[in-house]
Amino acid sequence: MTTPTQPAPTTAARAPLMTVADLRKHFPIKRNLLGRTLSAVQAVDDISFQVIKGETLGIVGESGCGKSTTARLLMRLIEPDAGVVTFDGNTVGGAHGVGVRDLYRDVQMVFQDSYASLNPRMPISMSIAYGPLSQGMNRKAAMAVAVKLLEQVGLNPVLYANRYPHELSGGQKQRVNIARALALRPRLVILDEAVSALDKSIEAQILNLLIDLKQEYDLTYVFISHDLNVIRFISDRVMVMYLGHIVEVGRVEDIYARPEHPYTKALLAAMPSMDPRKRTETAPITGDPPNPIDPPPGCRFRTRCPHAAQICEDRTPSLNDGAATGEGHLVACHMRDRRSGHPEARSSGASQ
Amino acid sequence: MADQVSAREAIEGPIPTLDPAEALARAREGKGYWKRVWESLKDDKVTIVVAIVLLLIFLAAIFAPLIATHDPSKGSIIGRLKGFGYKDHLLGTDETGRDMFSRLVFGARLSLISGVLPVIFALLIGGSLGIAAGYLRGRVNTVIMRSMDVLYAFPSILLAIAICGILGSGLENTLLALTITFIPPIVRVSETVTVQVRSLDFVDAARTSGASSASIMCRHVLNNVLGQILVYTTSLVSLSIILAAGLSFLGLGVTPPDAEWGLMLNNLRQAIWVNPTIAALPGVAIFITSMSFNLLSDGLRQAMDIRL
Amino acid sequence: MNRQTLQADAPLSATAATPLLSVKDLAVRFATREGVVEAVNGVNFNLARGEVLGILGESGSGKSVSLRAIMGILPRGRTTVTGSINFDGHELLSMPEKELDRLRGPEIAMIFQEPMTALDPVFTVGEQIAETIVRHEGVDWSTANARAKNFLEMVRIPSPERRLQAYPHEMSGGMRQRAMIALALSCKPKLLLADEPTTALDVTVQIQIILLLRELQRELGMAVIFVTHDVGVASEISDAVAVMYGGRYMEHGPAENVLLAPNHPYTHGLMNSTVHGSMRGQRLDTIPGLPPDLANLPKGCPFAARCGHAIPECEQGGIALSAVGKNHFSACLRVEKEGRSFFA
Repeated sequence: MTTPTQPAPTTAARAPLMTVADLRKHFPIKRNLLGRTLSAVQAVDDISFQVIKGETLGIVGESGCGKSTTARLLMRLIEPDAGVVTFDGNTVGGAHGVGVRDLYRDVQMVFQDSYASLNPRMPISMSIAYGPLSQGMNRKAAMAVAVKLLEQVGLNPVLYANRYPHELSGGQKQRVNIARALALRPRLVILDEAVSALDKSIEAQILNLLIDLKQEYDLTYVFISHDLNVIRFISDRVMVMYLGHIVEVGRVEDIYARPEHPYTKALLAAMPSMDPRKRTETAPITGDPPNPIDPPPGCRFRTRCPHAAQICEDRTPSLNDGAATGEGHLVACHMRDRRSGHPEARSSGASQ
Repeated sequence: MADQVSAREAIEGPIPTLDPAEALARAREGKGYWKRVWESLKDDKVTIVVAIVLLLIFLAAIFAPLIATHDPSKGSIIGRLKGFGYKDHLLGTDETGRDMFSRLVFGARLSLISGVLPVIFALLIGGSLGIAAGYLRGRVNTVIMRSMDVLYAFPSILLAIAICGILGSGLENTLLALTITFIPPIVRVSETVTVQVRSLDFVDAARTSGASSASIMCRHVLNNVLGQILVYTTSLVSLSIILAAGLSFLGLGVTPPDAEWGLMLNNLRQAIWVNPTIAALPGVAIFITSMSFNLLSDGLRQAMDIRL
Repeated sequence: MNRQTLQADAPLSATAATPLLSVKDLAVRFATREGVVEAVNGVNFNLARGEVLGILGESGSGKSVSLRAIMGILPRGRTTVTGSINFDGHELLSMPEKELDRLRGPEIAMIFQEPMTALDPVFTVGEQIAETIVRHEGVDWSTANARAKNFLEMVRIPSPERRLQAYPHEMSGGMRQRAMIALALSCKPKLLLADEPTTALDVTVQIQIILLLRELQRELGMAVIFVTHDVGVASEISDAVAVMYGGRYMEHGPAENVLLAPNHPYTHGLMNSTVHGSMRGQRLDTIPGLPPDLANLPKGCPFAARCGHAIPECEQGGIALSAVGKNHFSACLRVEKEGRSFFA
C-alpha cells in the first residue's frame, strides 16, 4: 500500500531546465488620453526563479498572487512586459530567441478542469491529436499517439475515443487534459490548478497518475495550486507568492517545517486542522488578500504583517538580501536581512 | 453510459488497444453537437411545419415554368383585376390582366433570390471578418470593427436605398446593396461570439499546440461560434425579403415586366379600391415567407440551446 | 426498495431533550429527460438545539440537495420530496409556502457558497439586512438600520458604517461572505444551514470565517448544519459528522469518532485519499472508480461497486444504520457483523 516514489532529487549540480529573470506583467486598467497607464493590475512584478531538471516545483499562493499569470507567461500565452526566460539555456522569444512553436514541443500546460478546458464540439481523441497534427504529423500517426495516451491515462480508448467532453466526469476530463499536454512529448509540464476542481478521492487518483507519468516520461513539473496539502505532497521545492512577488522559496521540508516569512507562517497556520480535538483557536491573519491594483509601496505584505516597520515601507525586500537558511532557502523579508535596519532583523537560523 | 464497464473492471482489467484508423472512424460517428441539434429540430413540430412550407415555396419557385398556368407577362385589357376563378385564373388577374398565380410563382424566384443570396454572401464575408476580428484582436480588430461602425451608422433601409440609388436599379445591384447592408451586423455578432469563445481555456490549449491562427480559427473556434451566428443570420433572411420588396416597391429594385412580389405590391397599390383581395396577395406571400424564416430561426435557436 | 430503514434507536445526537430538527426518511427525486434522479434516498437524523452537524460528502452525494429540501427551496414542479422534516414542532413538508416564508429568516436561515446568489446587486448591503429585519420583526427603518450596523460589527466587517452603504460588488470575497452571514443572522434564527460557504475562499480567509461562525454559533446558541467536501473544515466546525454518499448517510456520529476512527469503508477510504502532507513519498490510497449515477442507482449499498470489501448481500438492499458506539451509527453490513477490523 505504501510503496515509496522516486526519492526527491537533490539540487546540487543539477542544471536548471528553465530560468526566469525579472519577469513582469502589468495589466493596465486606466489610461489617460495619451495612452499612458494611470492605474494597472501589477500581476507579476519582477520575479526571478529557476526550475531544476527532474524536480517538481510547487508554486503556492492565494488569489491575486500572480501564480496563474506566471504560468501563462511561461507558456507565452501572454507576452511579458519585461524579463528574460530561458529554456535549456536558450532564450525564449524576442528577436533571436526560440519561437513559440518550438517552445511548445518542450513545454506544455495542463489546465484546470474548468467549464471549457476541452473543446465541447470535438471528440476527445481529436482534442489530443490536435497538437501532433499541428506540428506536422499525419492524421493516422496523430491518432495513434492519441489512442496510446488515452490508455496511459487510464481511459479505455475503445470506450472513450469518440466521446465528447460533456459525457465525461471531472476526473476523466482531467485525464484527457493530461493526455493532451503529453501529446507533444514535452520535457516540462506546467500544471495550473490541475486537481483543484476535483473531488478528493478523484484528486488522489490524478495525483498518483501524475507521479507515474513523471517517472515514466522523465518529466519536470511546475505545479501551481492554492492547496497547501497537495503542494506539500507533490513538490520537491516550493515557491510562495504574494501579490505578484515571490516571498519565499526553498525545499519543501524547509518551507513546511521552518517557514521564515511571516506570510508563509500565516498561510501554513491557516490550514484547517484534521483533528477535531485540536481545533484552531485564533486566525493567524486578519483581513482579505488586498487588491493587486496599485499595491502599496515597499513590502506588499506589510499591511497585514504584525512585524511591519518603517523600512518595510521604504524598501521592497528582495529574495537575495537575506542569508539562506537551508540549501536554496531564500526569503524576501527585512527581518532576515541583518543589514536592513529592521528592529527585529537578524540572520536566519537564529533561534526565535 | 450503458456500455461503461464497472469501475473495478475498468481499473483492474487489461485495456484493449484500438487501431488508430478505427479510432478515427469512431471519432466521426460519435454523438456530436450538430447531430443532437438535428435530432432536436426533428422533434419540434412548428419547425417541421415551417420547413415544409418553405420547401413548397422553394419548389414552386424552381418549377415555376411547369406550375404556372399562364404566361406571367401576358396581359389582357378586358380581364383586369378580376377575382378568383375568373376564366381559369386561379387567383385572379392583376392591373394589366396578367395571371396572379403565375406571377406569384415566378415572383417567388426573384423574391427568394433577393432574400437568401445576400444573406449567404454576407454570412461568408461578414462571418470571416468577424471571426478574424474577434480572434486576432489588436489592430486587425480595430480596423475591421471601426470600418463596420461607419456602415452601421446608416439605418439599413437608407443604406440599401443609397447604394441602389447610386448604382441604379436591377437585380444585381439589389443583391449587392443588400449584401453590403447585412455585413456589418453579422460582423458584429460574429466578433462578439468569437471574443467570448476565445477566452475559454481550450482555445489557449490549442494555441499551445503551436498551430497557426488560421488552423485554430477553423478547427476550434468556428464550430463553437457557428451556431449562434447561424441563428442570427437566418433571422436576417426575412428582413432581406422585405427589404428587397421595399426596394422594388420604390422602383429601385427589380424592373417591370419582371415578376417580383414587392414590385407587384407597388403596381397593385391603386387596385386596393377596386379589388383589395388581389392587391393584398403579394403582401400575403411576403408575409408567409418572412414569417416562416423567422420561425425557422427560432426553432434553430431553441434546438441549439441544448445544454452540454 | 432503495431506502434505508430506521432502527428502533434512531440517531439521537444529544440528551433526551426534544431535538430542534427531526428528519425521517427524507427522499428527493428529480424528473429529468434522462430519467428519475434519486438525489436523496432516505436520510434520517435528529439535530439538537445548538448542535453543529457537518455533512461531509463529494459531489453528487446529495448533501446540498438535502439542505435545500429542509429550506424548501428546491425547484417545484420537477421535484418530489417525501418523508418528514419536523422543525420545532412544525412539519415543514406539509406547510404552505406562505407559512414557510414566515419561518425563513427568523427561524431558519441559509448561507451559500457564492454570496452573490444571496446578495442582490442593486441594493446596498445595509438596505438588504435592514429590509429583512423590518419584514420579520416589524420595527421601523431607523431601528432596523441601527441593528444592521450591529450585525456588521458582529461579523467583524471593518468600518461597518461605511459598509452599510456599500454594494455587494464593491466588497472583496471575504467581506461579501461576512455580509451574507450578517444577513442570515439578522433575525437570530434557531437553525443555520450552510452550503459550502468557505469553498470558494482563500485559505487565510476561510479560517477566519470558520472561527467567526463558531463564535457566533456559541453566542447565539444556534444549531448549524454545515455542508462541505473538505475534511479539515468539517473537523474544525462540527460536533457531529454525517458522511453522505449516493444520497444516504454512510456514517453518522461524533466528529472525533467518525473522522479519526471511521466505522465505514467509505469514510475510511475518504480519509485515506484526502491528501495531507504526511503522505509525502507514498502512493496515495485511492477509492477506484467513479461516484454512482444518481439516475441509475444500484440496489443495496450505493458504495458496493467501489468498495474493496463488498460481499454479495451488500448489493441486495435494505442496509440500515446500525449503532457502533454511543450516538455513532454506520450503514454497513460487515461493520454491523464484524466491526471495523476488516478495513481499518
